Amino acid sequence: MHQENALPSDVLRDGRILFEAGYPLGTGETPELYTVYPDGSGVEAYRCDHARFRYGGRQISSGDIVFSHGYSLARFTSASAKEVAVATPRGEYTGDILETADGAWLVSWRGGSSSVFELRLWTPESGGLDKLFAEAGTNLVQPSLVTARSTLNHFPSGLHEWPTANLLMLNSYTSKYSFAKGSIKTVRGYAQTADGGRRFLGTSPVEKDGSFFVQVKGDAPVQFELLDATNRVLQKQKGWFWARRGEQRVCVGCHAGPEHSPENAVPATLERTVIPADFTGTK
Amino acid sequence: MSLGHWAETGSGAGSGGAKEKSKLALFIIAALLPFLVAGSATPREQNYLSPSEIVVSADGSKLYVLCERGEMVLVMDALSGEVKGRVAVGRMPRGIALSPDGCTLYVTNSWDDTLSVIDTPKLAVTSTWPTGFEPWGVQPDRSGAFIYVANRLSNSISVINAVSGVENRRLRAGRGVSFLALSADGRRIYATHVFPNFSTNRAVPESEITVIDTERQMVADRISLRNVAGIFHLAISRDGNFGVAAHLRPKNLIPLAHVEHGWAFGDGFTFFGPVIGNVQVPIDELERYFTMPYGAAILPDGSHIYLSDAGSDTVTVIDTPRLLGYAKKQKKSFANDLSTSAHYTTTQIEVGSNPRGIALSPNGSRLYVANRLDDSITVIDTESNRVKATFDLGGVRIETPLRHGERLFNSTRFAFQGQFGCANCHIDGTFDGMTWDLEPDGFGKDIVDNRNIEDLRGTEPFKWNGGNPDLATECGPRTEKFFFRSQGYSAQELADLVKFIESLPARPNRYRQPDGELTPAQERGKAIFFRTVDRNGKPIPEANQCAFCHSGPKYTNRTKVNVGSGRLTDRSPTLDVPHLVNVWMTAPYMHDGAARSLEEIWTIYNPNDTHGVSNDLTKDELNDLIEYLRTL
Amino acid sequence: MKSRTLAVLLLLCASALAAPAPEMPRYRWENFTTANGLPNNHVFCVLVNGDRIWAGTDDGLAEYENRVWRVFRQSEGLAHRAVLSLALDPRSGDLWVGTMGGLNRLSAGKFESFTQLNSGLSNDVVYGVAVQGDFVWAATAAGGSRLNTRTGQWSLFNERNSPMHEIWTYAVSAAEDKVYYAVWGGGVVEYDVKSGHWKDYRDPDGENELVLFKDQGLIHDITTSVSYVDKILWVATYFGASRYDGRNWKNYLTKDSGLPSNFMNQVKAVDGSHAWFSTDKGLAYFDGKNWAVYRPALDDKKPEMIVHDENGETYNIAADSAPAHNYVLGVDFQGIDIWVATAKGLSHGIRLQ
Repeated sequence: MHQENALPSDVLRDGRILFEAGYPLGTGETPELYTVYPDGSGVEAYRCDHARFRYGGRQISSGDIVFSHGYSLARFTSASAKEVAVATPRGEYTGDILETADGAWLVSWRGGSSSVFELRLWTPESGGLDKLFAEAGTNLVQPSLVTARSTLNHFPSGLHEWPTANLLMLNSYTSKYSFAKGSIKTVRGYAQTADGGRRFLGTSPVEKDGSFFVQVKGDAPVQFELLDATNRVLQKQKGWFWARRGEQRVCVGCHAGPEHSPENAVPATLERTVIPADFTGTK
Repeated sequence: MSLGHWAETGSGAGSGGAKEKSKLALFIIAALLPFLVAGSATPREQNYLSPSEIVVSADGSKLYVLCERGEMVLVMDALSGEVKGRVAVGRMPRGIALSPDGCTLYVTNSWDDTLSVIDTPKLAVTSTWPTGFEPWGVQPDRSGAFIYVANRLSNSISVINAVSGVENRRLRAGRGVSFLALSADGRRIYATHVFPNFSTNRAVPESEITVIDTERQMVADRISLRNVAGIFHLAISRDGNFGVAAHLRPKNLIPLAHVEHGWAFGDGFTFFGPVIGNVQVPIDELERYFTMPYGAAILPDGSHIYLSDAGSDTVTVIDTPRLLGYAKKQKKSFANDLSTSAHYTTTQIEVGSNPRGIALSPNGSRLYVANRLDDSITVIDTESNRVKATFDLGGVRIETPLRHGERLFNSTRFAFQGQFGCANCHIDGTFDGMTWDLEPDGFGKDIVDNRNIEDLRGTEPFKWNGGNPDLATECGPRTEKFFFRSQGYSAQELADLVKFIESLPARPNRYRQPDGELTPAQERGKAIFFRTVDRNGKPIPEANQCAFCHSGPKYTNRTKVNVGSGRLTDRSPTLDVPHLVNVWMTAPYMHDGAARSLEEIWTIYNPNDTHGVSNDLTKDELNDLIEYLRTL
Repeated sequence: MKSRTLAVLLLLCASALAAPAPEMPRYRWENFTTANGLPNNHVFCVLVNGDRIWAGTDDGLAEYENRVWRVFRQSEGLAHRAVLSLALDPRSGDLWVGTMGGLNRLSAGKFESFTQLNSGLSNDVVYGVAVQGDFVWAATAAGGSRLNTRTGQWSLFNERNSPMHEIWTYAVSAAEDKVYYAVWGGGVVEYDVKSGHWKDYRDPDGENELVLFKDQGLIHDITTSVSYVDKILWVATYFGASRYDGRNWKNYLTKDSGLPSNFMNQVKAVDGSHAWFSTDKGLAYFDGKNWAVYRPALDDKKPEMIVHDENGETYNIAADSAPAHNYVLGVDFQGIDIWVATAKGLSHGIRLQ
């Protein structure tokens, strides 16, 4: 997957768009599943247990997201922060996994590279893949069900009429990375240059509770790194993300994982000032 | 059946046309048909029963179902669901309990401030005793000699002599104390409350479980619940080793910029007792929320815990040993971790609309769930965790606009991923005692105090800055965009919701005399409220007289005024004049909740006499003014 | 030889005829200071609740139970570090705490604060507090305040609606039928609970320090303490003490009683006949006829117990211990024991016989 590709794979029942892009976003080539709101705001990885390739996520009636690793299937379920393996026969899976009306999964599969892709049906009870349709010499790769979808009719956008976006970090210590207490002192921001490099935007202090508040240019890639008191980089964001023009976004932590809901406390940075540090790069 | 709580496909904006018109016509015909046939007037809302609490008789044969709207108790056969009898009680009954011998039923009438004493064999009210303000939970002690009553608006618990009806003593509890539970050995009564305890502005909400020593009839302990606001029913295990209290964890201190990741509310319960100490346990998942946990029950063997989720219309079943096993391994709090509930949740069971009180049969084989807005009782088989039966209580069959609006108000299905609804912040149609940081005005800016929504009709515009001209704007696109962050109400749903909100009446004012006369202090206060000159005879500019802005039947002239209360973080100091109906109960005050009491509005926040002239008042005069304000 | 025998015989007769000292309570005194757990040696007040002792000090509220001290300060929610008065609500077990910065209710470990800014309390300096049924009465530097604990309503009493012409109220004592305020410089005012009417009691001698009309009224207007028990009102002033039975006054001065000083901080009655007086020169006990004074001697600080009988005879009783200091601010009873707040520590009088 090229680092600039983003392939929408489903519209979830809660209105988000599920799409496939490289991990880390903007730089990497390992396919991963992400979500974004229909107005382009709130982009984030669906889960933070980044590991193997993840292709073609689709939502089934239970709300789970089923996807392929290429040679096996797995799913995300609402109760778990990590993917759950699905006991399906190994082989090669391609295209989307669709759920039929009676709960079976319709997949495109072949046993090996010398075979063609066939449409198969899988159920948890059968454990195997029942052949549905195959055509000799033809790869059947992208089934599409004609079925009613129960999804939202519209999705409101709360974007403001601003060229910039505000980003608030609640607690950068809430993270999958380990930071010593009190070690994070500064955050640095970067914009992406035309050749994919970095352009320095600015620095902002990080409060004792790990919070900081910055304003960035909307609709532009941005990247952060956290530094200690000696300006040594403690952690650097691997990829890029964006905030839409007029978006106001708050992060629970730095790569905290969607399973972390925020702790209820007034961020220290807002007690100090309600004016964000200028990371727009216009000055 | 899917347990997803995705927003329903409504008629939506821009989808009009013939199909829509015919749908509307059908709806109208369906709504009016019973009346057209019967030739009667519009069905009275009071024909809805609204069952909210259930008590099971000791032998398991009978259910006593408290019907809030019906203002009665139904006696039902616990096996068949047949209604065997009914007894009328007082206004807005909220709490019900059986005496230990089963011969007496106690019902709190929350708008009458009374306790009905019912002879259960005769099904007749034998006495009506006074309580504190807005009695909710009621619990006899083990001997039945004393009755404990939680008075929500007095923030205290009455201990009433069960023979004489005389209140023996009053015990200080949490703010909005409403629910009580007795330990199996009778030595303790536990109490929970729905508003966070009073604190400083923008402090972390603090709540408590009040522990009462029933022998001394005194408060023995207060179990602190940090960052919890809104605690509902509790249950104590039969062996006395643990208790559970259903609660909310609102995130009022962080900007309400999102809903994902449990941003606005966490649902769960506190598991307390000597087994593992006090642990806050979440029941939500990463993408699904089991909202407004309300009722609580524990199987006799302690193996499972049941919670009714009043917003998501479900019952959550928790496996106690798995919970203990998980909790014991955790070194720190997992209250904010949305991935933990899978470790101890057995299942969620879909029930009816707005499930509230729940009760187990004595042997634990059946769980009864009161579906308040369906007028039904769901019966769950606890072995299989499946719905075994649904008892229809009768009453009005069709859904009136008001009923529909009330269901919408209490449902959480409209917010993103079904996380919260109107009733989260407007508890039982009131407020939540907290201030919030809403997103659109900027992070940390325009901090706003949550407002009581009773008796709103005629008090437009809405929002502290007066920016919303009517409720349809307040609850429509704005709510969709900046609160629910998901597809909100259809036009019809919005209309019915607004109708419901507008119908919320002011609860009885507790400081007015029954005859309507004012006390001398209230009269003096009224004179100050209406004064036009200060104590030295200097005229007060009309725009700075209390009664100028706070005029009319609801004490608002509905204009926007700058009373000098703006903060540096406010975008504008100009505010909509708030109405003052039952203002005495809605602390904190002012647009940002800075004033913790009515007094502070003037003792601290009016240094330049910009919010009325008050600095010439003596302390007793200010007290008199407060006395008058209490009567509004 | 004869004169010597006669002298001995006279001595023997004299000693046979001299009355023994009246039997007055004797104590072993155990004293607490900052050296053994007290947060501060200036103890303004003390309250006993069963096995629990509360001491209001200049640096926090101290609780003593099972021989362990626990201190509450502003960080725990105490309104002000200086705790001037204490009262217990016997029905709820709540402790009411009067401080220099407001009134607290302490209920099962939780503090609630009432100040002149956030409530109807008339002034933050709360010298005295008393509980009367559902009401809590506070004696403040700017009048009396009464809180209805059921409704949350406040009433304020000052010169505008009561006979107080001074509003510096220094103490309050409440019973079911009456509430009394000691008004510093204004005598005593009485509130009748049933009728809601006020009445005042003033020194008939006016503002001079002479006692022209003994036992004709309150001994002095600079009152510091009132104690109303068994329908008898006891009053402590800076210039003597008074007892009032509803009809007759009886006054006590050093010159005609066993009071060690006319300067008193507190009077606390046991019943209509017995009372304790906290003076600047020792702790005094009156049993209706006789007096006993307990203190470190004024000169050499050695433990001292002086008994003064109804005939004016004085006896020095041997004592091994004494309260921590002779400047006494208040007492409370624990069965037959007594706890004493002094300027230099808290004392526990353990009754010996």
